[in-house]
Amino acid sequence: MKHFTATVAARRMLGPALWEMSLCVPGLSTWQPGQGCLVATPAYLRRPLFPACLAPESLSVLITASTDPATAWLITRAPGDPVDLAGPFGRGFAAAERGERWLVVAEAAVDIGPLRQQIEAAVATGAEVLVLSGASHAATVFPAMELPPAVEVRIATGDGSLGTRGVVTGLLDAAVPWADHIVAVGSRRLYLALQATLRRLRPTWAREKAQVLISDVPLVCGVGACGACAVHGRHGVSLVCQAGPVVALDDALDSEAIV
Amino acid sequence: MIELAPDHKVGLSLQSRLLPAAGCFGYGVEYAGLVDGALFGAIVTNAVSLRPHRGAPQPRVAELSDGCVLNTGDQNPGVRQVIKRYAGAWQRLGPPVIVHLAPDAPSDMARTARALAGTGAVAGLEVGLPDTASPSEASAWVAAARESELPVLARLPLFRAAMLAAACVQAGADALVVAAPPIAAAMHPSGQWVTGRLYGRTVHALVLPVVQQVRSLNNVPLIACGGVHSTADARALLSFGAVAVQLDGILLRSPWLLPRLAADLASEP
Repeated sequence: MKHFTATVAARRMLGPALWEMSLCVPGLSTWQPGQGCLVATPAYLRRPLFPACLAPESLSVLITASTDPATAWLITRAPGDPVDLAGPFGRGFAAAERGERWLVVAEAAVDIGPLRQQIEAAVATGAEVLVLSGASHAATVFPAMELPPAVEVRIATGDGSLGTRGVVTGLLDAAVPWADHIVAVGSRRLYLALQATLRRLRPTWAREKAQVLISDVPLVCGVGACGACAVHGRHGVSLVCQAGPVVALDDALDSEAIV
Repeated sequence: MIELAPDHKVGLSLQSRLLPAAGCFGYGVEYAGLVDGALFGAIVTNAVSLRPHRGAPQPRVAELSDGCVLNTGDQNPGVRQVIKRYAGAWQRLGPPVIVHLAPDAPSDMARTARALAGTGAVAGLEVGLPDTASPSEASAWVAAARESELPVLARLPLFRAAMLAAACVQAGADALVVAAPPIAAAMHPSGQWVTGRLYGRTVHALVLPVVQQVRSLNNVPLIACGGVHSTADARALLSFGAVAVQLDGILLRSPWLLPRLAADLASEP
């Protein structure tokens, strides 16, 4: 992990409550999709963010309006403003290979963020990608045009205003039988539904081929020093900032949750 | 050079007045490449106990407007694993290593202390006294740590520091740490309360008078700890009688401020 003084390069709105912030990060080189960074805000503790797009000396993040004042502050940063960040930390998603079928599940629009670079990388490698994207209504759906044209996108909205009526877990039965790899970002509820679907439809599924992002555990230091992100699981105590934030689906659900 | 154990046969000398507080710098290796640990006078590690501790369940952190409450429950893999994983690195770190001992039964703490001393990689031990410790309990813990024959620092609970200081010195503590972060509670966004150690700027104001009070009552070297977020904060604690300062919350927020702090304090007499 390194410390960077980044600069806001651009900020654009992707939806009613969704922004993409692009940062110029001098000195940034390698970063694996799914790895996180810790951003300084007026809040006492840093905030974890998971880059959506990565390029030499730049990255972008998706930010949604929320009740967290620190996140709200980030949204107000304008081009030219400095951003203090440290990263990358943790383990990211596995790399895709040509010909593989990747199922990407995002519970809400902002959850596409950590998955976006993985999607781009998989398409570039020659893998097939199917994205399941959830939202409350049409206006809050992640814009499909922001993803590579080769990607198929299936949408579920709570009010049925776009795609299938319901939540994204309703799309799993039709998609899971097709996939070679699955990556997902969302709530524990999503991960439980995904695990149940896999056990029902793909009982011999190789556990390491379903990966999810743990984002509901506090992330403070990013280097495994403070113990704030420790979770108790079947294999003992593990630090999410080191063993995660991307972990096998079963490991995420074997670990304690913040209920 | 700052001597923490002037009456100890080996002593414990610091090249810098800055140390990390227990729980804020891991076991000395985690920040490699990000923070130069050699800028510290000594490295104080996370807690170690005889047997593994699972520690507290989640959520472990709740944020406040200018601080946070953190409860790891002294999670650690036990002294055997700590030695296996870190003793080699400690030999190569540079600054002396002071291992923080979690409050165990005194007999268990003594075994932990002797095991750590046997590595040859540990320069001192810091006894973490719980907030409810009595003077006799504090004495027993310090005596247990002294079975290692290493220099022993006693980290005092903030609101009982003056009461326990004398007992620790009489039991043979070479130095006193004032103080452990106070116990506090804050609500996590999930609606659950987190009860643990309070970190934040406000703690500095609480620690200052206690440092002065303990200093006036005891002659052993005193290390101050609590709420240091600037050079001015550190200088204030030194002016109140501390010979060195431990950094806690600032290491959780912005550990790369360490070079500036170290440079500023290097000029202190």
